[in-house]
Amino acid sequence: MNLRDITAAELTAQVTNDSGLLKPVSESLYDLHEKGRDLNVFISFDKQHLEQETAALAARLARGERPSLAGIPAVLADNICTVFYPTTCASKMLAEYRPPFSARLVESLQQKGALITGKTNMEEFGLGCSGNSSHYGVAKNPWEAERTAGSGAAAAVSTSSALLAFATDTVGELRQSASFCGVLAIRPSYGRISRSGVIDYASSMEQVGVAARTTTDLALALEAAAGPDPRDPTSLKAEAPPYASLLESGEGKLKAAVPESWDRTSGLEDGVKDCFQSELEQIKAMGIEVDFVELKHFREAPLAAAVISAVEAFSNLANMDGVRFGCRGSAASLQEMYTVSRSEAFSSKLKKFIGFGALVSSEKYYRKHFLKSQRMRTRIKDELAACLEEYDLLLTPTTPFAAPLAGGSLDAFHLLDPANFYTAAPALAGLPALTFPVYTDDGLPAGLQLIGETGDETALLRASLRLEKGRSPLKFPEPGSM
Amino acid sequence: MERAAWDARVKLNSEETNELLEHSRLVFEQLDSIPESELDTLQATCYGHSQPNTVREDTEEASLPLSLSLGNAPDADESCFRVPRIIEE
Amino acid sequence: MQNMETVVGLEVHVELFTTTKLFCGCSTAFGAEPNSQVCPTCLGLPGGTLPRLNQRAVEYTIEAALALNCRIAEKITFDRKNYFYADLPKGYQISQFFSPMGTGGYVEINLDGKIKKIGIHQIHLEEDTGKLFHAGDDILTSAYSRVDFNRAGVPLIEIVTEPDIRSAEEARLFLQRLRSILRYIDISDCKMEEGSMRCDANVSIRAAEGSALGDKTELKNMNSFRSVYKGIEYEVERQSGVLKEGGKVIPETRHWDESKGITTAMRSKFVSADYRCFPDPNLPPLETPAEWVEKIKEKIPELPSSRSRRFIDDYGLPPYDAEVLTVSRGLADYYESVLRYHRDPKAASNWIMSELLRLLNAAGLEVDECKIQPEALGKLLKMIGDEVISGKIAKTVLEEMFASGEDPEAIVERKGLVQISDESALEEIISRVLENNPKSVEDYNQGKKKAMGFLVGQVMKETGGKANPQKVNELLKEKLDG
Repeated sequence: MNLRDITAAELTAQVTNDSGLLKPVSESLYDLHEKGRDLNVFISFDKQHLEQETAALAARLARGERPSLAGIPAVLADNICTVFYPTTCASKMLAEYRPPFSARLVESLQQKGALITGKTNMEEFGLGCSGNSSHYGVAKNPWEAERTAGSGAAAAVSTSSALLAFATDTVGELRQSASFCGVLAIRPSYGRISRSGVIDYASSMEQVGVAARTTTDLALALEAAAGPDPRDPTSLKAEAPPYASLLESGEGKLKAAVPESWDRTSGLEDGVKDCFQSELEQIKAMGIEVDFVELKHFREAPLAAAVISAVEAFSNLANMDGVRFGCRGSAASLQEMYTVSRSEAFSSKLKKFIGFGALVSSEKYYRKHFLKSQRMRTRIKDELAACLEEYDLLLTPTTPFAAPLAGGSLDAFHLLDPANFYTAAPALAGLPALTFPVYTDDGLPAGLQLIGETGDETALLRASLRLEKGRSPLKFPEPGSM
Repeated sequence: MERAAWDARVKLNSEETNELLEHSRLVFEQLDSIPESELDTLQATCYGHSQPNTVREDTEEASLPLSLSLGNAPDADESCFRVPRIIEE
Repeated sequence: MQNMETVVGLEVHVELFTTTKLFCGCSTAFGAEPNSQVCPTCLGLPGGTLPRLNQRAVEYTIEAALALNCRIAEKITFDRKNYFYADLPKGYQISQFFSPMGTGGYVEINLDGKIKKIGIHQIHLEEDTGKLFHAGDDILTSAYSRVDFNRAGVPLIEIVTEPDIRSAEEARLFLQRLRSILRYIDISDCKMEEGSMRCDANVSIRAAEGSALGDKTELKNMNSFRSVYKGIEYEVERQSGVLKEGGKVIPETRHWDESKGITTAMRSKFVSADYRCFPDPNLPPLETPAEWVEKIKEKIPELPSSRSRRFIDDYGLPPYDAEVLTVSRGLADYYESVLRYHRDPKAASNWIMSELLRLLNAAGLEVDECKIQPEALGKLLKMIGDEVISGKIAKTVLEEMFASGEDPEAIVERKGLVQISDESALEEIISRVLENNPKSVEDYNQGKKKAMGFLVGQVMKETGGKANPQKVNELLKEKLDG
C-alpha cells in the first residue's frame, strides 16, 4: 500500500470497502517507520500496538460500523496522554510516565476509527521548535537531515508515516514545524479542541492543532477532533462546524490584509521574503484582494507571548516535583529534592525558561512586566479583531526562515525566539491560523500563514483549498532518501 | 535571579545564569520601550478567550484505584506517597 | 504601659459539606483509605489537571457570604498561589486572591448583653491540601513523611475578619457565632477538633485605642475554641511582657503548643514568601447573575441573631435564654415546635435549657438525635401546667422519655404517677402524718417554722412524691394553724 499519494478520505473509503487492506496499511506504516528511524521522528512506535489497533478496527468494520476516520494513520505529539503509550513530553522528567487516562482527543480519534500509530518527538514540553531540548534528541527534517523538523509530528506527515498529526501549538510550534517540513497545519480557535489530557505549558495560549498533506484531510481531521468537552472548562461551548462538508474552494470575493511591517524582522531570510512576495502576486492573480494595513502592535506579540508563556510554564510545570510521578533525584530533604530532581530532569533551555517565568512574575516585576504584557495582549487582540472585521484574512509568512540547522542551534535559548515573529499574535488572540506550504528558491519548504476570525476555521480551510487548487501538487521528500 | 531560580526549584550554573540575565535584560528593555501610558487604561487579558466558565454538578465520579494513583510514584508504600524529610538541616 | 489594647484578626478555614471536591468528582468523605479518593485532577497528574468547578461549592460560598452580610463579587474568578510543598499536588493552590467571593460583611456577637459587630474583610473559596504523616515522633525528627491526597482539593472557605476583635473572649464568641451561622445554613459541620474548621489568629497590642498598631504575630495550630482563647491570651501576655521590658515584637508565625500552653516561633527559609498569584488561565470568570444570587438568598433561614431577637420580642424570653436556644438551628426549631404543642415559652425554655440539654450533653447527642419528640415534651409541659404531675415527677418522666422515647402520658399512666390533688385524699394522709410526728407539730407550734418543711416532706414520702406540693402546703398550714 502506497501511503504517499492517497488522501485520508480515499483511504477510509478503500478500507471500509475491504478491511483486508488494513494489513498492507499497517505493514507499510511499519516499513516507513523503519526507513525513517534516522530522522528520530518517533518517541513511541510499537508494531504490536499497531496490529491490535488494526485488528480492533477490522472487527468494528465487520460489525457494520462505518467510523469516519477508519484506517487513517495518525500520530500524536508526546504531550498528548495515552494509556497505551508512555507520555514523555520529550522530557527526562516524564520518561517513565504512564498516564492512567487518555486525552479526550485520543478517545475521539479512536472512536472514529483512526489508527494511532505512535507518539512523536518534540521540544521538551512542546516549548518552541528551533532548539534542541528533547531528551530523545532532535527530530530531523525529512527535506534535509541536518536541519531540524521542529516537531516529529510535522515530520511524520511529511514522510507519510502518518496522514494526520496532532500536536500542540502554544506560540506557534506546530505551524512553524509544519512550515519547516512543508505540510499544512491548522491551529484552531482557542478552546476548539479539548485540552483534557494534554500536557500544556501555557494554558491560556495552548491549543491542539493538526497537520496534514491536503486541505481536505485537514478539514476531516479537525472535524473529528473539535467540539465541546465538559472536561475542559475552556472548551468552546458552540458545536464545531462540519468542516469537511462545508469545504469548497469558492471563487467569491476575498479580502486579505498583510501587516505593513511584515518584513521588519531581523531574522527574515531573503529566500522567505522573496517567496512571500511572489506568493502575494500569485494570490492577487487568483482574484483575491490584498491590502497592506498598519498593525502597530503586531510586532509586540512575541514579547508579550514570551513573558506570559514563561509565567504560565513556571506554574504549569510546578507539578513536576518527583513526588507522585516522574524522576526523583536523591536529596536529604524535601525542598532540596525538588531542586535536584527538576535540575537533573529538565533541559537547560527549560530551566532557563521557567527561571525567567519566576523572575518576571516576582513581586518586583509582576506589575511592571507581567501585567504590562497581559495588557499588551489585550491591545494586540483588539487590533487583530478590528482588522478582521474589515478583512476576511490576514496573510503573513509562517516563519521568517526555513528550517534552521539542527547542529548550529544546539541548546539554542531564545526568550524572544525569532521564529515566533508571525505566529505569536494569533496565539495571544486565540485566533485560528493555518499554514500552507510554499517553497523558497532553494527548494526548501516555507509557510504562508492565514489568520482568521475567532471561531471561523471554515474560512481558513476554504481559502487554503483555493490556494491548493490554484497550483501544482505539493511536494514531499522521498522517505529514506537521505 | 538566584531567588527566582530557587522559587522555580531549578539550579542554574553560572553560565546559564548569565545567559538568562542577558536575555531577561533584553526583554525588559524592549518592554520598557513600550509606553506605559497607552496601556494603563486597558484590562489585562488572562484567558484564552472571553467565554465564561461553567460549573459541574456535585455528583461523585470514580476515583483511581490505588494501583494507578500510586503507579507512577518514584517512592510509595502500600497506600501513601513518600517524600524525604521536610525540615532542612 | 497602661491601657494596652489587644487587637486580633482571625482567619478561619471551613471545609464545605459537598459530596465531591472543588474541581473534580472525587468524594470528600472522611475516613477512607489514604489515596483512595484521588484522580488525575486532584493528584496534579500531567495532562489531568483541568479544573471543573463544583456548582454546589460556589453556591455554599455565596450562601455563607450572604449570611455574613457580604457583598457578592459580580464575577467569580480563581487565582493560582504558587509554592512547593509535599501536600500540594500541582505546585500551586487554586484560591481567590484578586476577587474574593464576598467582601465587606460583619457578624454580630453578644458581649454581656451588648451587640458588637465584627467586620468580615472577605470570604473566599479555595482548595484544601493533602495530609502529611511524619515517620517518627514529629516533623523535626522524622526521616521521611507519607502523603495522603484524599483531602487535596476538598472545598474550603476562608473567612478573614477585620482586626475588630479586642480580647480572647471576643474571639471565642465570634467563632461560636460564626460556627452557629454556618451550621444554620448547613454548609459545614465546623468541627475544630476534626479539622473541618481551623483558625489562625493575627495578634498585636497597641498603647491605646486608635493609636498605631503594633507588629503582629500569626498564631497557628489552635485546634479548639479553648485553644484559640488560651493561645490569644498567652500571646497577648507574651507581647506585653516583651514591650514592658523595652523589647520589640517580632512579626512572625508562632505555633501554639497545646500541651505546654505556650507559643513558639516557627522557622522559615525565606523571610517572606512570594506566591506570584495570578489568574488561573484554566478557570475563566463565572458570572453571578442577580437571579442566581437571589435564589441562593431565599434558601437562607432566619439566622441566630435575628432569631434570638425574635425570641426575646415574641416569647418574652430573657436575652440569655434566647441566646442559648438559638445557638443551633436544630435547638431553636425544637423549641418552637414544643411551643406549638404547649405555648408556655418560659416553661419550655427552662425545661429545655436545664433538663433536656443536660441529658443531651451527658449522652453526647445533638438535639436532632433526641428520642423525645417536641410533641411529647409539649405534652409533658402541659401535664405539669395542668397539675396532672408535679415538676419533680416530671423530671423522672423526662429521663424515662429520653431513654425510651415513650410517650409521657403512657409513662405516667403505667407508673401511676398522676399527682394527688384531691383534698380529701390528701387530708387523710396529712392527718396520719401529723399523728405520727407529734414532736414536729409541737416544734411548729412553738414557732419553729422549719418543721413545716419536714412535714411536707413526710407527706410527699407517703405519696411517693405524687402529692401536689402546693396543695399539701396549703392543707398543712390550715390544719396546724387552724
